Amino acid sequence: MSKQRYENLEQELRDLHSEVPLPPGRLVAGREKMLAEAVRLDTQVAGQALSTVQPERRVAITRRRKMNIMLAYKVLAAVMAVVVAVAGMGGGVVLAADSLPGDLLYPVKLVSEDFRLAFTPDPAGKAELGMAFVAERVQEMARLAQQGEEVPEAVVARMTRQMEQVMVQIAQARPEEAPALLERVTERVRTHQQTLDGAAAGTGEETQTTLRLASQVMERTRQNAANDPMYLEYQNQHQYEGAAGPHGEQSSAPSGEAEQTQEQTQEQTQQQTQEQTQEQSQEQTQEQTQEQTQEQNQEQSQEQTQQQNQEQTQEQTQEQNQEQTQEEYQHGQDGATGPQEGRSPLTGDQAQPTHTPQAGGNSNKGH
Amino acid sequence: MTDEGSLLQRAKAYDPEALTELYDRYAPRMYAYIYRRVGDADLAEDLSSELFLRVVRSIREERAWSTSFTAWLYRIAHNLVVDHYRRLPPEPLEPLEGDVAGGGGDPVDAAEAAASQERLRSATHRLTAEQQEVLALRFGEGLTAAETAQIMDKSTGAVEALQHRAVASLRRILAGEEL
Repeated sequence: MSKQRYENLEQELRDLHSEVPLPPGRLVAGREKMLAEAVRLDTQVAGQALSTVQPERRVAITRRRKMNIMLAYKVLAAVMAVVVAVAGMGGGVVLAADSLPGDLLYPVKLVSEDFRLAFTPDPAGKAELGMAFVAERVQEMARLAQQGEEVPEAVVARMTRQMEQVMVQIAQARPEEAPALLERVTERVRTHQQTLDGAAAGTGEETQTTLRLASQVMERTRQNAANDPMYLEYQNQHQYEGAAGPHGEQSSAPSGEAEQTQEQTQEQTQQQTQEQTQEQSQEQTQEQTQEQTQEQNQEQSQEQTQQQNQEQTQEQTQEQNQEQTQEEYQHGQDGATGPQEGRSPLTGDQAQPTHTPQAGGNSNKGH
Repeated sequence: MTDEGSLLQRAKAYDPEALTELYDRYAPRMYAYIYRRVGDADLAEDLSSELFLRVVRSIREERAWSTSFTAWLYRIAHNLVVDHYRRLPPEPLEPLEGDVAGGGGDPVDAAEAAASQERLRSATHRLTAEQQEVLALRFGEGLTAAETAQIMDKSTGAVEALQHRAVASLRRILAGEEL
């Protein structure tokens, strides 16, 4: 066979393949089917999670005896930890650092975490510390799962609380510190998700559900971080090089939210300067205990307002999302819309993608 | 931050926005690929719709696409096309029209020069599934041998050899030889 002929045939094949007519249905039906399937699968997963959480509550009752013992340990441990923390030495805490839920020293670990947080003054430091503790929870869960032991719900609950605290602290951190912290949260949360998903493989159904719940907390956090107006602004300034995707990316955060954060940060800086001056005067009089209680009071009030704000925006965006997705699916499929209430509120509040169909080929030749 | 990694992570959580973006990013390309394999726009659209149903159903099985998401898509698309043809009887190869065939002296040259696109497409359907795949990926998608190798889970050398055999077989089919 001659080279000449070989090339001709290849060229024919290229020509043959260059003719692609536009998809008759503009690929719209496929998108709708896929999204409907995703909703179905998502509600299935959420349903499984719910149906296994309920029996888990029953298990929790039988576990109450164990928890009572744990409570007793906790009181004992609290006393121990106070002694240890006040002495400023971490001997017992070091021993406890490697402990797992259910271990004798585990409560010491938890209390020592609380102490370390209480003694860390600035929000950025608290956020960092909180992230470390969340990582610790993830490791505990992974180790328990690996050892074939059940993962107590209390660990997920504590991890969730600590994760929320991290976000609250980041919101209170100085505006120039927040984006980097958010970025770190995003990174770590992604690793945690992988760890949790990996740990879930081959475990019992109950453990899988617990780990999935933990993984969902991570997912939610990641989305909250990704949608934070401050982080978006930071990304716009530092990372964008004109290579935006087809859907305007996530840069279109509602301006109202951005204003709110600015107000918040202004308030925070004011409060911070107040704190600083107070601290200075108090250092002069060396009344440390007073300083602590004042700081704590301030922190509490800050946290409360922050949480309220966050709750409000979350509620708003959730409502918006639900309305939007309902609209989307209603005209997309033949009445087989999955129950919207069953969906976990994982979606962020980004701009909805435009559903412009894209041409599949470079020729309009009909078939 | 809609790089592919984070997009896929979000898609794994069934985030509708991420899924939509993935769809809009890849569906046209997959439709075109399938069309090149089947030569029927309606069928290609149906199969690409089926493809993304499979994607969303198995996107949580990370092993499936951990190496390359695009390669995974092409593999599913290929399987769909193969499954489709498995259910159908083989197409008859239309004989060349008399006037076209009589255009040249050498019947092979005549066949190559005059083969209508339909005839060529029908001929490609007589190749093995792997041969069809390699032709569609190399000539249709314009992928390199290395990219094709990744999708087909073969070495680059094997892809080149397969492509060579596919083109040679195609020429024999077009020349009216029995395989």
